[in-house]
Amino acid sequence: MSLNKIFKENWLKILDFNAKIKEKKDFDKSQIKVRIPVTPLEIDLSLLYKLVSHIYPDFVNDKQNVLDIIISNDQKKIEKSYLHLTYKNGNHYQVKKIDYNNGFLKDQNLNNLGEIFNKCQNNLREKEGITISGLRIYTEKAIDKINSLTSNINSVDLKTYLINLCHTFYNLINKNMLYIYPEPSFMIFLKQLVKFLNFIDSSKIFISIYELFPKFNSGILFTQENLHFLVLIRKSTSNFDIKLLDLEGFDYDFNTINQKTLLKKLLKKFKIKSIYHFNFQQFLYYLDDLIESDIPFEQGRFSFLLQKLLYAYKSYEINWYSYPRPIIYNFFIKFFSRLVGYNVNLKKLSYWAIPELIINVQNSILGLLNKIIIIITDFQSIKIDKSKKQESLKETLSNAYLIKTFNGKLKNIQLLNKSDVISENQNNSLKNIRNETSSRFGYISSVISIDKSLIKLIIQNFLLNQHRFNPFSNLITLRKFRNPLYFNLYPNRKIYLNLKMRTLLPILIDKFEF
Amino acid sequence: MNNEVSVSITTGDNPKDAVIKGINNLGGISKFIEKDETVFIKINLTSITGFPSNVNFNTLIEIIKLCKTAGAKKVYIGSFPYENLSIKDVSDELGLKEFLEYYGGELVFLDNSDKLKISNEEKLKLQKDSFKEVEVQDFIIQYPKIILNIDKFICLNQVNVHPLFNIHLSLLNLFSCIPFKFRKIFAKENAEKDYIITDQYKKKLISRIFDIYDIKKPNLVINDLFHFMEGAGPFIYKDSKINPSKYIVCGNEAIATDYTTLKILGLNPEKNFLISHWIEKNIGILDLEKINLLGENLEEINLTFKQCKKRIEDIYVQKFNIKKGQICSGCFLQSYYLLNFLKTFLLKDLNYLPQCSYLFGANPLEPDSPNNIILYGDCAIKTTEKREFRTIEKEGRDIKTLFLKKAIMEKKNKRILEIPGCPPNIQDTLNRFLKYFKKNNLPTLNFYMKKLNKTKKTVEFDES
Repeated sequence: MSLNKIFKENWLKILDFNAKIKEKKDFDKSQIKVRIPVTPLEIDLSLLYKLVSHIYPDFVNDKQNVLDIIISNDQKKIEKSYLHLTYKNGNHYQVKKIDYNNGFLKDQNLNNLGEIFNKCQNNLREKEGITISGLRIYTEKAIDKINSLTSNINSVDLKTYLINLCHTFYNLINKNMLYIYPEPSFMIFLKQLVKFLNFIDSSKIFISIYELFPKFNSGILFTQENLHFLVLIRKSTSNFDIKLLDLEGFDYDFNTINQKTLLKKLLKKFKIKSIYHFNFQQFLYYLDDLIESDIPFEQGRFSFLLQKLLYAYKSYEINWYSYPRPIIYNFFIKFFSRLVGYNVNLKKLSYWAIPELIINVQNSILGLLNKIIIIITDFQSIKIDKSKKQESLKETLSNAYLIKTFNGKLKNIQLLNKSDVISENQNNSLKNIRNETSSRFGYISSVISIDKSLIKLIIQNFLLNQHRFNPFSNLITLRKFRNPLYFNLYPNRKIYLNLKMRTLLPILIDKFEF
Repeated sequence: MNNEVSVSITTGDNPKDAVIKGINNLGGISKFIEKDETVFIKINLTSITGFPSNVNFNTLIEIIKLCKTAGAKKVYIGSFPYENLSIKDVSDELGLKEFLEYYGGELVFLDNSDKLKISNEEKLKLQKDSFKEVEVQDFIIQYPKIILNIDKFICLNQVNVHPLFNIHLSLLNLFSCIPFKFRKIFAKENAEKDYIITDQYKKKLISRIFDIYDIKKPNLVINDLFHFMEGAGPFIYKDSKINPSKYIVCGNEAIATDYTTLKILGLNPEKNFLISHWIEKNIGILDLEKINLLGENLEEINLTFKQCKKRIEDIYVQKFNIKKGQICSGCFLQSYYLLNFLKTFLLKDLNYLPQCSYLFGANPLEPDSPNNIILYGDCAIKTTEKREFRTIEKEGRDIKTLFLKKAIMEKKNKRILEIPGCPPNIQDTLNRFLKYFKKNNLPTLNFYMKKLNKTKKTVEFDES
């Protein structure tokens, strides 16, 4: 039982490159491309090295050497074992086969990984004179899963690959095929996430999210001292593509070049529609905050993360840049909207008050213990008369989720079957759905239905096309919230439905800059 | 049915199991409801907010089902909500009417708020037909005839913490059988001098609670503390949380059920204002220590929970310096709700406000500055009429010298916000805040008041 040839070849190339760095203490400028391990994404070796050095110590382990053990499916004997020699920054440079006798794992409990780790550590210190900082144990089934994921990695398209990856990851976590010691924070986060999502297969979630995104072609520039790379993301109707490019070889003087000029140049060079620029270290800090959080988020933690996100969003041209510039930051747009009574100055976004407001309103309206059902519909999937669409939830229902909250924090999310929500014999209005599901799942306080096309429009108009001046399109999107075909809520909570921008904006935008 | 007072304490995996067990311990639902009888379930229906300020609907559904299986002809459900809200408002926001119908119950619009488009004559006739006038403490109140004429009366009470009575007991639940305006306690124009010292407000309130309880006593009382609210409660969710105690207390007598509930919560029932009042007035009628306790062993239950703050000064509201005088329970209760509302919902607005002095009660402490003084309640207004802060000294041209010379002159301090009432009404208070501090300084309050002031219009029918 070993990893497949395609994976191995790629892995050895990476080890070879990293080993040379140890000898030469410099990067090879030949820009050899490899795949990021276990993915079809191609990347320059030097960029991979730099990314690992930035990410690995914070998110996985900041000490040297890792031991991989492959065990039998009954978890009783060791099939194979490899010692990966790594630099302190996490880059692997050599692999050694280690032989353990069959009785090594005898009387060992995989729930007590610390003990196994200490045993391995002592053994390696005696035999090889090496200490390890981490232990990864895979069952044979796990290797099978990784092999089937990577067998056609050269030819598979990214969308199919990501669906397979989510599915494989879900199995590895859910069926106890992979053990890591010490458990890195990202692993704890992902495990909690899978549990929180009530073990919904993550590939289903990925497909749902994937379908909600409209077509786009954008780039994200991440920079930091000695690290400048561009991520190109393109989504077409059928596929999805990501490319990572090291900008070191493009001869831009990042210290002197004007942000706008740089972004404009990159936009033209890579023929993309929009480009965003973030500081990589700040991005990692946020990711670290997110991963260090317990799932489900405590209200205080949620408030903190949202505050940070809103603060970053409001700090346009301080913490992030984009080209073309978002139209909302245009002086004339701000001036004229203020003139007609709408203050939309996002530089004064009330980042400190909005999270608290959301939490308090949510707690008061929904209560401290409640269940709601969210139904995602897809009207475009059926071709029926518009007037009949409202009664056609049976055909249009795409996904339904039961969301439980307790003491103001999300307890879990459950994916419902169509039969849990839709009844064959009666009118499937939201009112009936609420009554029927209450007898099955306990009192449901609200049922919300939202159509995919509306979510797509929101993402398109308010997220991806921020630089375009299309007030009518935005207004049409907002007005769709009043059309029960696209958005419906039962009971009809007036507090949501009668929101007026003129009274809402002063809450969202500060009077002063704090 | 024998006359023994029985109370059952039960627990379970969910409220449904616990309440079924509780009623079975008392002899089963058929012991309380006979075939073709009409039933009224009095629930908590206080506001348009979510659980637990209203009843736990999972428990309610189970009780409706039990009544139906016992052969009840009709199961009515109802209550009067909090001030300025009609039953229709609450029902529309929570989708209650249709929900209860689905489970075989009927939500009763006790305030007739479902019949808005009728003439004035019809309104008066409806009012006469729906309510019976009952004299209570030299005061005529209107009691819904539907409850008076019902065959069996069930009280389903959601237990929460309460700032004045520690715990929201079934007695308080039964008090909302009458409209809010009859629950209000007003001081007479020439109130006795010792009105505050002897806390006449609380005495009158307790006495009225028992008067209402005596009009129609429930046949079955259920105190649902399966999930009960602890902390700031009952309308403030910011500093509150749900305590999943998993207990439900059922009994055939309200006082005994409340008494047992307090014991479960580790409180001394004899120190509770309501129970102690009852003991004082009814010595010898019911020996509370001889209640027939069924189900779980009371001695083995050890619940701890966080109670409401007992002192208004302990509620921290940014920019508000609280200056207390002698207060009665009326001002305490309203101030408690008001300050917690400000603290919860107006986080942003409080940042825009200047430093304020909040004076309440008779003879309150001196404000920190003569600017932005809030005088809350009649007592604070009347007892500070001659205080120094009522006037400010300002330099100006003196009229006595025909404006030729400058002098220090005394002027009325206009930076005072007076909120009259004994105790003041919260909605009125918030509207006065908006007027005094201006809308652009209180964007969040402005947003809420636009919603709240709309609901008031639908209540006016009831008030007429």
